[in-house]
Amino acid sequence: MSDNLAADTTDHADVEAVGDLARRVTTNVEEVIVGHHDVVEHLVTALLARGHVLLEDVPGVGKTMLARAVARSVDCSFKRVQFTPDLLPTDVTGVNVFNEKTREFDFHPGPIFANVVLGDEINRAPPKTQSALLEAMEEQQVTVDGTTRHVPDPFIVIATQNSVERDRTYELPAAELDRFMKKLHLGYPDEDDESEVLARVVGQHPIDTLSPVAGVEEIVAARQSVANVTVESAIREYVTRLARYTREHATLGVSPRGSISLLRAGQARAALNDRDYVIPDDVQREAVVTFAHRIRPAPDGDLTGRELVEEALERTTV
Amino acid sequence: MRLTRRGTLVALATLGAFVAGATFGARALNAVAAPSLVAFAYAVVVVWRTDQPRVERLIPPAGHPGETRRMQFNVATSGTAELTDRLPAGLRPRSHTTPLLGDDHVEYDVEYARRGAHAVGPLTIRITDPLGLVARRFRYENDKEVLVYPAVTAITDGGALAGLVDQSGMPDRQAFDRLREYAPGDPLRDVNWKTTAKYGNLVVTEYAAEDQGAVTVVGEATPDGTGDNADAMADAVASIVTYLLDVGIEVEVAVPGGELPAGVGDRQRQAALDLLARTPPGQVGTDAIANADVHVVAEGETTVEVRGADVRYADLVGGRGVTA
Amino acid sequence: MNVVDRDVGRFGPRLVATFAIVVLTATYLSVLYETVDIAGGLDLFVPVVAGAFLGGLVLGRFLPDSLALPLALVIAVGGALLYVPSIPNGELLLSRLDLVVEDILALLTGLSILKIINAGVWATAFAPVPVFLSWFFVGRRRYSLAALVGVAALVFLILTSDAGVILGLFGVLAAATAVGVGDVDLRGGRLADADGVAMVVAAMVVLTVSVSLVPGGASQPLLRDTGGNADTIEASLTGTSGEISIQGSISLSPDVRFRVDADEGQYWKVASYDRYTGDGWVRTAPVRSFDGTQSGPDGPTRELEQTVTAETDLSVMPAAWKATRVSGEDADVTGFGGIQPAEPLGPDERYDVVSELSTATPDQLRAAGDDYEDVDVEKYTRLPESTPQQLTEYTTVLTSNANNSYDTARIVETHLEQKPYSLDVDRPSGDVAYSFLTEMEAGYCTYYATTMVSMLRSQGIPARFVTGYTPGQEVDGEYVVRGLNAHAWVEVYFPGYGWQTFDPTPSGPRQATEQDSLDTARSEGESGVDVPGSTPTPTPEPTATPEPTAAPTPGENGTASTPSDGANGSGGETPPGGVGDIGGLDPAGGDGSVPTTTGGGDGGFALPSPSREETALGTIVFLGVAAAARRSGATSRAYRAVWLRRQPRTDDPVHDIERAHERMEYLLARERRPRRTGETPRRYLRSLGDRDAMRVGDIYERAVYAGRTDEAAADEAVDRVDALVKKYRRF
Repeated sequence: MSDNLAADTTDHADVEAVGDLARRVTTNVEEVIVGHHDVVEHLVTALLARGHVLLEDVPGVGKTMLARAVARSVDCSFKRVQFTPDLLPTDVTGVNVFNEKTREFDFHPGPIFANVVLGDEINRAPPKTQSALLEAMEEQQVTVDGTTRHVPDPFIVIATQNSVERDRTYELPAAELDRFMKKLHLGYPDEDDESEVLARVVGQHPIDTLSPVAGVEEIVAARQSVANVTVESAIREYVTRLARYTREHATLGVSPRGSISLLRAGQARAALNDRDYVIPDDVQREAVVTFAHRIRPAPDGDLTGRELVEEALERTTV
Repeated sequence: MRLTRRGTLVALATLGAFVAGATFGARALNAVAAPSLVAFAYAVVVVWRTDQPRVERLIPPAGHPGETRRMQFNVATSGTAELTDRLPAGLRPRSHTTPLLGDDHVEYDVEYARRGAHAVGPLTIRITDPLGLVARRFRYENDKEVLVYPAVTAITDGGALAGLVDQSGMPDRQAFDRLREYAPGDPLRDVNWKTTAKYGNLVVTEYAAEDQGAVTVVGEATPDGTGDNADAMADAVASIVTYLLDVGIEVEVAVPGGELPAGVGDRQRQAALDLLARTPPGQVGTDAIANADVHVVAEGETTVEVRGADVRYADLVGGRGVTA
Repeated sequence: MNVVDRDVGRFGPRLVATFAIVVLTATYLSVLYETVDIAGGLDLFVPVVAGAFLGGLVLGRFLPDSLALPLALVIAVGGALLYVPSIPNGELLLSRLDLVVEDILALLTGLSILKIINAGVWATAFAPVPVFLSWFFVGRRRYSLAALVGVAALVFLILTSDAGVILGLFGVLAAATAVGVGDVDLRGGRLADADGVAMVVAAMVVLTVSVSLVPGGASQPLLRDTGGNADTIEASLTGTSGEISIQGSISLSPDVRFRVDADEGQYWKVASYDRYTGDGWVRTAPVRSFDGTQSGPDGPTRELEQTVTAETDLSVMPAAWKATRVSGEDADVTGFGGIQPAEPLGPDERYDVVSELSTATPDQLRAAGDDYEDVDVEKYTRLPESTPQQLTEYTTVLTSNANNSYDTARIVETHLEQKPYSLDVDRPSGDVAYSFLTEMEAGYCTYYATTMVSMLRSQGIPARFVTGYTPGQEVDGEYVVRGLNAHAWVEVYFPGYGWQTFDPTPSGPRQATEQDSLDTARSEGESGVDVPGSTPTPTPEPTATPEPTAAPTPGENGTASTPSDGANGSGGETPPGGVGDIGGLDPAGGDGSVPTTTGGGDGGFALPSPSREETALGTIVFLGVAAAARRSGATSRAYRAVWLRRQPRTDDPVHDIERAHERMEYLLARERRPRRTGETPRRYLRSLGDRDAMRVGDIYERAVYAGRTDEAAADEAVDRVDALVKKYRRF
């Protein structure tokens, strides 16, 4: 019968509030970002589902703008980190600096201590720096010189990856890719949207005048409600079947962590639709963005990760 | 559609029964001949009406020699059927036959014996009637192949290759090589201020030329009829390339079967193994040899030439010292 | 699927295939068993066959295929060693391979194995070979080879005309089943996978029974015994073509067959038969050419000269028993002393015979004793082992007052003459003698004679079945003998006096029937019924009736023992079957009143219908139809149709809602389109656009994915689905 992830059940009123919030934020962000409604929605639901997002794109399509707009809309702090091969972990986490006056070490927090952290070109970061970031994403805390400090709540990392020079740069290792709930792709806008973008940036840039439509506490409460959305065994079994299909048809398929991510994303999607229980349609909606990047296809197969997920959706009984 | 051996025997016997019955008037032979005739008629009708079975072949993923994988089929058929699959040399067993029961998922073990891109099939399905008198064969060709990579051996004694490792570095778009102390004469532009601040002394970034990042591995093999030289070359190149890629070095490959532009990581390794799986024996162009950092030659024995020094491949993987 | 299911499923095919071979083995073994039953030797036959069966099955588990034929060969040689010494001149057989081949050829072209000398021993020697071989193969799971061996044995017995249509059909069906289901077993399939076999076998039954194929005709042995070679070896192997099978209702033929010019009328004997099969008679005596003379019977005799002129084609040589000199035609003689023409006689051909008739008196016969040294008493007192014990008991009680063979014979003869006479009878299914004695209301001469011989044999008195003609109509010193005079009677052996004639058929009713038949034929103007002078006067004169036996003792029935044809013209009825030879009733002769033979006329494949076989065939057809129905999904579709219409309610609303949803999906899949594998229910129902369906979908969604539901929702769901079913059925 009824079987939830947490003890409390989210009732209909809570869910309506969450859905409302999500729609408000999305609409607000779209004042700045033109034409990527689905991506914005996915980003907002990822925020509500406690996930992190990887944006892979060509340069200059608005990844930074998107992250900033989201942060602004929910009245959260925003920091940007540009990853380079010489970036040290302390550049991310912060460093203890010796204060001559007090003769003590003061901790200067790094950019990781913000609600919304944009990490540009994460694939150029050296391994140690990447692991510091991943620790923060996974455990919501960082360790500097032995001391552990928590990152703020809510906390979301939006990382970007350049899609141009694939062969000359490292792929993010599969283990790291797995930490991102979703991988999204903006792409070039279509003709009308591009014109619209140009129209908007003439004069004042909309990001400067963007005001928040939700508060930090609201986001925290919304995240809690989303975590309590009902998930029945039928859905759990469906998600498991999808994951297993990918494992059977690829060198590396979706891990249990991936399945959990899809489940959470499904909960957020259900809440977005004012429903306090997850239905298969929610799962299907979130499946591709949640699964595709975790899959390494069989080398002689001609399917990309995305195509394999689509095939799984087609062939797995609901 | 044709008669099976059993069908021929029964047909002759039925004919004989008819002849004997008519000649000698043993009417009770009707009881033997008539049902046999009916059985034949039924057999022909049933086998004639059978639709072509649908077969979906699931090729196992690529692997290395000595590994065993499963070849799988999803078959939708009706009636009494038998599936026979044929595999080329380089895979074992050479053929496999199994009876089919209705809609079936058939699997059998395939041993990867030898490197190469092995075209599998043809597959035949033999349908008979329930009594086994008449048979019909359906043949399925495809162009799918099982890819067997060369054997990758760990390089235990990487001494000869050490120089390459030091010399090459992590590639990057900016392609800088390493940090070192400031030496008089270094352009101030190259000073790495961040690290200097932490270090206390001046530290300079040394940039490498773009293509110095990549190690070029070239392989050649003398054709010898059995393909052993080509296999040896492929094995050696694969092992070296894997070793270098694992360390993080950018690698570029040129073999008789083609060239692979420089790259790093898992993706590059897959591409290299793919190329090496398919490469025939032969030679590469002289400019390729000129650019080579590592030159593998297989002609009965496999030798690896690294920056002028020759070493036996057997030594590289055997763990013995290098004789310059 | 639990383990038990799986195992039964695995062993199912093996069991069925083995059972099929059992049926196949039973078909040919039943024929051999019957032979041994008739000819003796059951106490050897049963253990030998059982041993061959078990030995084959057990050895087949352990020994390789290659040993099958050598072992079978060893058994065959063993059988030959058993059989050959049991027949006279057996050793000569071993050295004359061409004669062996001739005999095999004769068997294969219709010579019944019942005619083989020591048929019981032969059957015991033959049986273990196919039994061992086929069950060895069953032990090795080579069902096709086992079926092949079994069918070969059955076909052999079909060719010798000992196995009939029913056995052949069942044998082939069993063989086909064994081959088909055996294949399923070898492929590792379950019993359900053998449904294709059930369908083929059912088709075989249905189509075979409704189609007639090879034109029929009685089996003709290829090699007849010619009197030409004086070789005893060939003759010692097999008897002649004489056999009689007892028929049902028959009629009389009024055609004149021959005329006998003699001083007195006698029973003109044609042949005698020694081996009783329970439903017929077989003669197992060799035939050789007759050099013109032979000795007469023992004891006091007198001579009678006869000149016989044939009126139609005659393949027999009637003469009073016992013919001692023959001239005018080449003749053969049987081991019983009976004469036959070397070539069939044509009309107007004639021959002369001198016969010596025994003149022993009843008192002499009473005193004859029972020292049966000069005769093969075994042969003439043997009854089939399946003969009911009650026959013996009945006879013993009946004749308890007699203390010698002659009186015993007379009592039996008299007793049987009380039985009503009729030509219209139903052939009994069990032992003819016992049936006639206790169940049948009436019969004709064959029945009387058979019963008397059986009863006497049960008392250990040597007796045999005799066929021939009653004296016929006397015209101007000649006796005109017609087909309707053909008759069967009994001969009993008395030491020192030879074979004496008895006739248990009541003469009065017999003659009346014969006269009716003749009158009818004359009034209808049939030809061949008379010769000049034989057309009747209103009251034919009585002729002197010959009395082969002495006058009856006082107190016993007077007329019974005289084979009188007293008053009027005519004689016996047409004995059926092989005795038809006598009257020239060859199949080629095309006589109008050929008695019915079993199994229907020529051509056609009429199956006689004893209900047991019909039931078995019906079962096979039913199985095949069931398999076809299952395969076509007809049964599951029918079940589904019912399941769709009505849904039983439980007290678990979730279960009810799920069941309703299942029904709805089945209905929509059938009427609109099925839901694709990866399609969610919500998308599917929205794409169909049916409001009722979408509402049910919502209820289902809430129940399954939100875990929230109640009775009311379940009721609504079921009601709406019922409405949907109605809606779609309207169209």
